[in-house]
Amino acid sequence: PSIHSSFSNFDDDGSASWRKRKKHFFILSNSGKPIYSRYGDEHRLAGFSATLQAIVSFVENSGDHIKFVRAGKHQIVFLVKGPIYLVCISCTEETFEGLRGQLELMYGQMLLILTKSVNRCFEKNPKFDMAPLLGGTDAVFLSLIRAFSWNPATFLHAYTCLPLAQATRQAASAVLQDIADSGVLFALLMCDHKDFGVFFTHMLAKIQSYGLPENTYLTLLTPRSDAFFDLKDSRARIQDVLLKSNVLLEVQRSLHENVLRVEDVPIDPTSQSTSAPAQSSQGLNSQPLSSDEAIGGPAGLWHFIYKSVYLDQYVSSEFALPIKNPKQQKRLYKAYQKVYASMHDKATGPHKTQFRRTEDYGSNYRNMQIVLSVFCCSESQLATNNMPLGSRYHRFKSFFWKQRDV
Amino acid sequence: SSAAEIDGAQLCIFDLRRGQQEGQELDKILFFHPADCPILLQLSVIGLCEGIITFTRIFSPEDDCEVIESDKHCHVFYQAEPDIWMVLVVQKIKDNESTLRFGALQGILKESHSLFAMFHGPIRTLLDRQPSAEFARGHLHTFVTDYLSDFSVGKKLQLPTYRDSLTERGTVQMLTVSREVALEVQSLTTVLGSCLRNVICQSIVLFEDLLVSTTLPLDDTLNLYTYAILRLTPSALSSNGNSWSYLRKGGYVNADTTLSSANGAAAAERYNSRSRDTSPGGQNQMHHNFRPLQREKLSKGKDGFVAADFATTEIRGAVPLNPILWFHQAEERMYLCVYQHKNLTILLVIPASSLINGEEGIAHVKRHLLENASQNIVTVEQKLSRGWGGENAYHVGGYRYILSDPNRKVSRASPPGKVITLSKDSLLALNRLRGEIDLEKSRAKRSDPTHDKDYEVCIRAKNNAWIIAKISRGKELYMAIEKGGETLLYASTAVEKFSNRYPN
Repeated sequence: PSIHSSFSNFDDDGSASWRKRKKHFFILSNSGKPIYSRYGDEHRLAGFSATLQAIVSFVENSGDHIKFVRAGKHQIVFLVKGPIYLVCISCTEETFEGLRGQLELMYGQMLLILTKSVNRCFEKNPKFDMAPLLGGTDAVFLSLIRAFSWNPATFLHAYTCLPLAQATRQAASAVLQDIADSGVLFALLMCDHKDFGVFFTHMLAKIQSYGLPENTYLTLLTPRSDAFFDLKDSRARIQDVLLKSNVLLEVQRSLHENVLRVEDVPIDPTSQSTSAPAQSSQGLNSQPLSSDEAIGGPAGLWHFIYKSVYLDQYVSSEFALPIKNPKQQKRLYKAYQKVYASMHDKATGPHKTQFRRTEDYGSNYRNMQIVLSVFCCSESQLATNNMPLGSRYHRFKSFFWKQRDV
Repeated sequence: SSAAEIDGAQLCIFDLRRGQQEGQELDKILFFHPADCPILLQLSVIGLCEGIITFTRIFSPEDDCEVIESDKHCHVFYQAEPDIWMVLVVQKIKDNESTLRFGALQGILKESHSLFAMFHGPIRTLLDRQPSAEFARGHLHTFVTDYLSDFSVGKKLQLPTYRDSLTERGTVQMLTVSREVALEVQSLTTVLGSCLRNVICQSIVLFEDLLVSTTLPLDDTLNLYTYAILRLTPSALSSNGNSWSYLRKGGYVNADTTLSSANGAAAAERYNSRSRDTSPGGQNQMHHNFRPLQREKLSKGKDGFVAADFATTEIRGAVPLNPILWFHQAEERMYLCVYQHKNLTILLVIPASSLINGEEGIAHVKRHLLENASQNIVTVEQKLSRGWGGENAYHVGGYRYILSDPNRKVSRASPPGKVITLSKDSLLALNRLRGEIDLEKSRAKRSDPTHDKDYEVCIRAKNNAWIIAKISRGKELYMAIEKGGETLLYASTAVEKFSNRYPN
């Protein structure tokens, strides 16, 4: 069979439904055996996997490694990890770097479930069928895939903390430190994706702990395969302390109260008031805005994310009224992702500041602007000819970060 | 079987309607550079390209496959005509795709195809006329090889990189003239238009390398202008004859070299030995070695007309030939006649249907031009020279920029001598930004082709330079400012100031 035919030898039966899907993920072995597929039952997996494998190995045979293919709005991104091939087919306008980062996270998730001994399995038997080992983990992968669109942590490579009083945070950390010598490598206390204890940098599968509130997760990591009972012990001790102390109460309260709102960002008293209606040409806002286009924070700030490079942590605000719609929020995250990828391009980055003004949010939001600097990211609606933002963000920076410790 | 590593850049042209039977795959290939690339490797490249085209069609039937990015190579695709694909394979120097821009590379494929079609008509027409594809392969071989010689440095091709991020292929650079001069040019165009009784001739007037006036439609103007810049203007002609600059440009690839493994070269050989192609569109091919891009043959005669020794016959010796061009938008075949006076170049385009006796008719037109237009030509040339600001005429102090209007296919940029003062970091950042904007523009066009989306990006790069892109009402501005203020306000003010100098 010719090279060309091996790229299209799978059954085209379900091909029409493919095109309606915006994003596929596939994991396959280097012998073409399917391991995981996001939309599993819509096509004949084996044939398509074989095609993907053919493409990757064709390029490998010429001494090269394929990264991606682009056709119009579709991108097909490849990632090779030893005997495992990961592929994403997407028409979501995400960047190549973003999609590849997502494939890395998928691989990490897979390793978390199966451990790196899968490599040994393939060494022993190249035709090893790994798919059954992942049986029942669909929900885990789907949750991760969902996080790609909704959790900025996935592209910021940072995680976010729950705002807590110093004392509370210390108490929680102390509890985890106490069990450190029982063979536990890392411990993580999380609530609704926000951690409030000792940390490490990868998002993990969550283990729900009995006795703790439903949205609180304790994750313990140990290298010892025989540590099950020790872990059970540690878990019980932690639970005990947390339940008896104020920590959990504080946590639940914080979840509901300590959200960062753009309206809370302080207005610089020396500059002209931004909530005042039409000003002179010297004014910052030269047009009155209707009640529909409510300004969030100062200078029309609608949303921000602040990431600390040194700590790999970020804080983000709630969405202001004009972008309460989930579709808009998703687009905003995509826009952030693009700016982030642009700023951190390996060859030209990191940029010190980047400012973008786009029509992406439709004609109602003509002056949508996203400003990203190394320490601050925000989005705002301004009247035209209005560029006072640069200096403001340095002032905002310290305010945002202070919110982490209430 | 594992194919040998590809070394250096490659350009291939293939027809997906051909060679579909097992064992006939070679028939797909219409052109391959380098010509001495082993056949198995050629098939391997084309096989991969065809496979990916088919694969992407499954997900994206409306949008063409554009690019394959791998660690060491970049395959750039362009479907020049239905099922006729051109692919440029570029080798990456480091692991750094920021040095290349897809749009710039695809621009080479588009330009070479447009020029080819201007001289030889569409490839599909050549193939339909002669299914054995000898003419098509022969013409492609000589034409594209000559075209690529401009990029040759030694045995390799030096293709556009980030250093060219302030240029835009596929656009015309115009000369701004005062109203008084514009009127003079207008009267010149009128005289030129009447060089042939009862039939209006079209014309393009160039001063140095800039367009002064045109009576042709947009796409045809662009094609002819591009050819003129490459081979006909005073600076192009001087680099033809100047052996030092010719050597500096790199090796000249001899398309006549017999290379047994090369499809195209062998076809060229066979083609050269034929006497004539008598079909109507084949008048250019009546003469052996019709190579409009071959530098050495082009020169300016004593009478002021630029011509190429396209034909050598035993009877008349070297005869300057006026080639026939196909103008796609104007939908006409026309003779091209080139006259040059100092820095002024006039391209006179005569409808072929109006000249019953080609050679004599052209001679008559030339006489008419010399008799009636000489005075206008001298006057216009004088006035333009007087007002000419030199090569730095479009330099704006403190800025390095390119302004481009893709709808009108016009651009203006900082002179190259000024652009090279930019640091590598600035150029890399600018190149990367242009790549991002290219993607945004394609997306916007797909979602709403009627509306030109506005877009603005200001980047303060790691070397403190401001790298700016602003798209407004379809016009594009890309800028680098290296010694500027720190604040965003500074950057936006700088863009405003610049935009005010060049309204609309």
